Amino acid sequence: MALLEVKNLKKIYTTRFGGNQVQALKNVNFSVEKGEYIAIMGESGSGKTTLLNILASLDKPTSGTVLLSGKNLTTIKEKDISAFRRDNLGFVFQDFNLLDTFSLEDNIFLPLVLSGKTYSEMNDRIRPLAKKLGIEDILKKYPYEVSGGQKQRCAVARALITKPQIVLADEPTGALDSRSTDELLKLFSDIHEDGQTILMVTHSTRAASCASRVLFIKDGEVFHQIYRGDMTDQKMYQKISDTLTVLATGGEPHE
Amino acid sequence: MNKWMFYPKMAWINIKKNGKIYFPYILTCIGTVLMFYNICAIAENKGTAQLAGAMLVQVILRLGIAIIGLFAIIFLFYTNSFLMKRRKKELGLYNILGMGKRHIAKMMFCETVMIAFVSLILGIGLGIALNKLLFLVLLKLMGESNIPFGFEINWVGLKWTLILFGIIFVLILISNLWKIRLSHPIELLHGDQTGEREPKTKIVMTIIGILFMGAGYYLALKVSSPMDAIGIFFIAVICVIVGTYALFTAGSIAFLKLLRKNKHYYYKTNHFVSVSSMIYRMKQNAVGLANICILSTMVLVVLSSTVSLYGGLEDALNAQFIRQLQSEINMTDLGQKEAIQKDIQEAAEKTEDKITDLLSYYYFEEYMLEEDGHFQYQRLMTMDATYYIALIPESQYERINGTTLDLKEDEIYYYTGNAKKLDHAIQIMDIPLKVKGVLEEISNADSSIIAYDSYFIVASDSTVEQIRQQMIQAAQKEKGQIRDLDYSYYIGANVTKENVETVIDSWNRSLSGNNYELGIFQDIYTTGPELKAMYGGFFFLGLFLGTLFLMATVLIIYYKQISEGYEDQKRFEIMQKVGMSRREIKKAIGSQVLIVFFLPLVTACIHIIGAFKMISRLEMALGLSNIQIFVWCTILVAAVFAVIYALVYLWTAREYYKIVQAS
Repeated sequence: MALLEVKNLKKIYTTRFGGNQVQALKNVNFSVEKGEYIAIMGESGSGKTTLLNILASLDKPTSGTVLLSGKNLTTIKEKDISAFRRDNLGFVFQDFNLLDTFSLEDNIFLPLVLSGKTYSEMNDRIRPLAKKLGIEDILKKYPYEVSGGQKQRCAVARALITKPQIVLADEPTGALDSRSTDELLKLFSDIHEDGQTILMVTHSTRAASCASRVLFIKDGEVFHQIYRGDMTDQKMYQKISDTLTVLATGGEPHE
Repeated sequence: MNKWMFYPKMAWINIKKNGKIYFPYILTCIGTVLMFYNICAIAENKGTAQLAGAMLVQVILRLGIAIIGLFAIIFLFYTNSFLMKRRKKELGLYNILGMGKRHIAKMMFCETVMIAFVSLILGIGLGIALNKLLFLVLLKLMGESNIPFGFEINWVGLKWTLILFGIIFVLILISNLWKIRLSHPIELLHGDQTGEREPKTKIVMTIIGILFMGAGYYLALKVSSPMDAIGIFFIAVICVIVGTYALFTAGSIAFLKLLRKNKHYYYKTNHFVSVSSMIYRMKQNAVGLANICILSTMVLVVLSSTVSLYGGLEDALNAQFIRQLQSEINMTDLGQKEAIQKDIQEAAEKTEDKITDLLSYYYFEEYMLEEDGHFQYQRLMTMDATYYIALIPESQYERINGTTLDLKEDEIYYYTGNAKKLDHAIQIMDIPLKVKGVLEEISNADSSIIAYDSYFIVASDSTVEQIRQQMIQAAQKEKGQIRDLDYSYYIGANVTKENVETVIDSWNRSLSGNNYELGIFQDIYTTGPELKAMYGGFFFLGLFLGTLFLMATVLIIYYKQISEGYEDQKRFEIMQKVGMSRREIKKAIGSQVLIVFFLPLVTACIHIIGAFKMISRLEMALGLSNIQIFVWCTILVAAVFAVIYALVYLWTAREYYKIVQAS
C-alpha cells in the first residue's frame, strides 16, 4: 500500500460574498510510496501551495480524499488534527518559521514538548540529529544570531525530531543563497537515503533535480511526471528544464 | 481633486483608516482637555472664591491643575509614540511610493491640526457643558447649600487650556517630524519588525529593585507617629516607585530565566511556550506595566484616602470637640488656679441660659520619650519612642467625674486608646510610680490626640506638679529650646448655633485682660463647615485625579493589547504550523495575557496593603480617628477599581483575539 494516496482532490475558493469562484485544484491524483523523494513543480498559481496545505492538514479540500498510511486526513476531527500533524508530519518552510523567542535547541524541541516527552528523551533524540545536520555548536543560539542556511537546517531538525512518516517541504531553498541551497539539498538527499519519505514543493529546477520523482502541476491538475530511474542529476536537470519549457509554451509533453 | 484639498483629505483618510489606534487617542485627547479645562474653570471660578474655606480649596484645586497639566504632557506624548510606532510602515510606504518627506510633513501637519481641532472643540465644549455639573458636585461635597445658577464660560480656563494643549500638539508634531526626518524609507517600512534580541538578565538592577522596594516597605511599615509619616511618606513612595520599575523591568526577567534554567519545569507543555514568550513580553511591556501599576496604586491611594477622610468627617469633628465651644487658658503657675476657676464660673453664670454641660479642668501635656517603662524628657521627636502624655491631677478628675480615686503619691490610673499596656511599675522623669488601675474611658479626653500613641494619666496633684517641675529643670539645661511647660486650663460648653457668637463675645470679655493668657475660642459650627470644605475639596480632587488616572490606565491597557496582538499574530501562525492546536495556543496566550494584565493590579493591591499603616497615620494627622472607615473605603475602592479593570481587560482581550486570529 502506498504511504500517501491523493484521490480526486478538488479545491474551490469562494470569495466572501459568494461572487467569484476560483478553482485552485481541479482533479489531483497521485500516490507516494514509502521512501520516495518527490518534488512538485509548477508555476505561481498552479495550485502547488494549496495542495501542500491540504496535505499538511492546514486546509480542507472541497472534495476528494488524502490517505496517509490508510488514514483519511480530511475526516480527522479538528481537536485531533494538531496532534496528528505533530506525530506524523514534519514541516520545512521557505521562511524557516522559527520562533524568535526560543533558542534553536528549544525550537527543535517544540513539537516534542507539545507531545509531552521528557527532557531526557528529547535530549537523546537531538544529539545524533544535530550531529548529522552539523548544528551541534549553534544549538544554544537564537534564530537572529545565525545565517539562513543554519536556520533552515534547524528547521529540518525540528521536522525530523518527531520521526515523521513524511516530511513536507514548501520551497525550502527559496530564501537561501546558492551555497546554502547546495548544502540543504545534499542534506535532503542524505536523509532520503536513510529512508525518509520527502515531499517538496519547489520552483527551483536545481532542487527538483535531486528528487527521485518530479510531478508537474498545471491549472490544478497533475500534468506530467518524471521518474529519475538511473539518470544523473545533470540529466534530470536537463529533462526538467525541457518539461518546464514545454509547460510554459503550452505544448504537449513529448513523452 | 482640488490641489488644496489633497493633504487634508489624505490626512482625514489616514486617521479614518487607522481608526483602531486613533479613535482611543482622540478620545484621550478630548478627555484630558475636558478635565484640564474643568479643573481650571473651577479653581478660577468667582464662585469658588466665595466659599467657606475658599483659600484652602483653591490651593488644593491649583495643585490639581499642575498635576493634570503635567500628566497631560507626559501621557499624550506616550500615546503618540505608540501611534507612530504602528504607523512607521505606512509612512515608509508613502515615502517609497514617491511622497517626499516634505509631503509627508504636510500630511502629518494636517493630521495634527485635525486632531487638535477636534479634541479642543469637543473637549472644551463638553467641558463647558459638564462644568456646571462638576461645580455642583464640588459644592455638594463641600456642603454648600446656596448654589448660583446659570451657564458660563470661564475665559481664564479657556485661555490656559488652549495655551497648554496648543503647545503639546505643536511639540508632538515637531517630535513626529523629527523622527521621520531622521529615518530611511526602508527603515520605516520594517520599523515594526526589527529582530528582537533576548533580554539580558540585569542582576544589579534586580538587586537595586529589591533593595528599594524593601526600603520603601520597611519605612512604610515602621512608621508609628503621624508626624513622622508625613516626612517619610515621600521617601517611601519614591523608593517603592523606583523599586517597582526596577523589579518589573529586570526582576521579572531574572525570575523567568531562573524558571527556564530548571529543565524539568521548563520543558513541560504548559510552561514551555509561556515562560519563553513571557520573557519577551516582559521586555517590551515592563515599563508600560510598571506605569499601569503606579497609576493604579495612585488611583487607589487617592480615592480611598479622600473618600475615608470625607466619610470620617463627623467622627473627626466629634473627637476634636469635647464641647461645641471650647478653648484653653495657659496657666503658668498653680497659684492661678483659684482665680481662673472663679473667672470661669462668673463667665458661665453670665451666659447661664445659653450654655449647657460646662466643663473646665486643668492638666499638663507633653511629648515624652519612653524606654522600658521609663518616660523621660526628650530633645527631639524620634520615630518610635515618642508618646503623648496628658497628666490629669486627681482633684480635677474627681471634680469632673464625681468619683473618688483615693490615690497615694506614687499611684496612678491611666487610659490609652492605642498604645501598649503599661507595666505595673513605671517611672516618669525621676519619679517611680505604681499603676493602680486602668480607666475604661476618659470622658474629657480630646481623642483627636489619639492619633499619637498616647497615655492619659491621672496622678495626685502634687505628683503632677513634681513631674512638671522636673521637666522645666530638664528644659533649662537645653540652650535655645523654648518649651511650653505650662498647665492648660480647658474650658468648654455646649451651645446652640444661634447663641455661639454671643457666648464667645461674653466669655472673651470676662476672661481676657487677666494675668493669664486665653486661647482662641473654637466652635464646631465654624470649624465643621471649614473642615467639610477642605475635605470636600480633597475628595473632589481625588475623584477627579482618580478618573484621570483610570482613563490613562484603560488606554495603556488597550494599546498594550493591540500591540501585543500584532506581535503575537506571527507567532500564533508558526505554532499552529508546528503542531499546536488553536485551543492550546489560545489557552497559552490567554494565560500569559492574563498574567501580564493582572500583575499590575495585584502589585498595586499589595502596595496599598503595604502603605496602609502609613496612610492611616497620615489620615490621623489630618484628623481622621476612625480607622475602620479607612479600611472599608480602601476595600470598596479597590473592589470597584478591580471590577472596572476586569471589564476593560475583557473588552480589550476581545480586540486582541480578533487581531491574533485574523490570519
